[in-house]
Amino acid sequence: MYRTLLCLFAAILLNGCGIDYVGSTKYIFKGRIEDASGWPIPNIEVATFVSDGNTSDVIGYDRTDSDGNYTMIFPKARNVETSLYINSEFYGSHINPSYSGISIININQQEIDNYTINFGISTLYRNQDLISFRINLINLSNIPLVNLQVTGQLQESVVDYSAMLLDDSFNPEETYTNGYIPTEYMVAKNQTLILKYLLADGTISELNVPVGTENLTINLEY
Amino acid sequence: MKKILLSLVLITGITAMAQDTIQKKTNTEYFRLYYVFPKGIGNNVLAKANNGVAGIGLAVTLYSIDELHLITGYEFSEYKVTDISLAANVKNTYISNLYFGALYKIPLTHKLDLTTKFTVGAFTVNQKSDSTKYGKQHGPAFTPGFDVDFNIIGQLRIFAGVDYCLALPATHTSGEYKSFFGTLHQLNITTGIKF
Repeated sequence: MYRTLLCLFAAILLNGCGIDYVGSTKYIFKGRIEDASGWPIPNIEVATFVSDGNTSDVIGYDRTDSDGNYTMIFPKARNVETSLYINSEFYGSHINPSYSGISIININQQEIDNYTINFGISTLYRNQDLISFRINLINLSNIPLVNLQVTGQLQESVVDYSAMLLDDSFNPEETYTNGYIPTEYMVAKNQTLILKYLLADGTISELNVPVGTENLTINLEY
Repeated sequence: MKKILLSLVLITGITAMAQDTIQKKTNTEYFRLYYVFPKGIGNNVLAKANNGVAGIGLAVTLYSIDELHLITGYEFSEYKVTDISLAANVKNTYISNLYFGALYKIPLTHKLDLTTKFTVGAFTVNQKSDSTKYGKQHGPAFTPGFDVDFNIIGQLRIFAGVDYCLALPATHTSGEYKSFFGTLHQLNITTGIKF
C-alpha cells in the first residue's frame, strides 16, 4: 500500500515536470534568409528551440516562403534557454544540404519588445562556396592578445544573440575574459578579410588577408 | 365571397385549435447529451491553423417555466493543429466551455420542436502534444444557437442544430496578432439526444 502511494505521488510529481509555458502569451520570431548574392532562399527550415536543462522542445517552426521570409508564433516559456536554428540539424530536422546553417543562441525571452523579434536578414552560403580559414596565434612579445575580430563574408555557424544587438564596430572593451579567442572560421571564397586585434597593452593592429579558393591557414605574430 | 370568408374562418379556427393542442403538450427537457462537429471560422488561429476533429457536450436543466429553460452544461472539443508556424509546434488544441444560459422551445408539430438558446461560458484553450502541455488561455464565450428535435418515444428526443460561438480568451501578443489569438469564432454542428 505504501509503495503504491509512493508510486502515485512520484507519478503526480513527474507529470508536473517539463517546460513551463504561458499559453496566453504569444511570441513572434521572424526574419528573412538570403544567399550571398542577396537572393531569397525558399524552403529553408527555421526552428525555435527551448531548453530548461532537463527538457527541450522545438516549439516554433516554419519554412521560408518564396521570398525567403519566415514567421513562427509560439507560447512564452519560463526559465529556458532559447535558440533559433536556421538550416541547422536537430532531431527530426530536414536541412538543405547545399547550404550552411546558423544557430542563434542566448535569446532572452524576458527581454522581447512587443512580443516580437525580427532577426532581419540571415545570409546562408552555399557549402561549395565556403572555405576554411584558420589563424595560428604566435605570441612573440609576451603581451597577451585580448581581442580579435575578423570582418568579411563569414559564415558563423553559432551567433550569440546579444552580440547581434551590438554594432559591428571593433570594440576594444569587448575582451575574451575566458581566454578563448575564436580562430577557425568558414568564409566565402575570393575576398579580402580584415583582421583587427587588440593586445593587453592597448595596441590595436589591422591586417588584410586575401582569400582564394583553397582552405587557408595564416600565422598571426604579435 | 361568403364561401371564401367561411373557408378563412374555418382555416383560422382549425389552426388555432391545432396550435392550442401543440402548446398543451409537455416540452420540458431535463438533460441533453450531444456530439459536436467543431469548426473554426473567420480569421483566427482555430480557423487558419487547426482542423476540428470531434467534441462532446452535456447540459442539464436547472429550472424551467413553460417553454423557457435555464440550463448549465459543459462542452469539450478537439482540434488538430495543421499549421505549426501559426499555432506552435504542437499536435492538438483542446477547447472546453463551461456554460450557463437559457433556451426557449417553440413547438412546430406534435413531434418537432425548434429550440433557440443563448449561453455564456468560461472558455479554455489548451494545447498539448501527447503528455506535454503548452499552457492555457482563459476567457468568456458567448454562444447563440438553435436546434430542431424530434420526439421518438416518451420524453426521448433526438436533435440536430448549429451553434455559433464567439470566444475571447486572454491574449498577450503584438497588436498584429492579438485578434488572431484573442477573438475566436466557431460554427459547431451538434447532434444528440435529450430527455
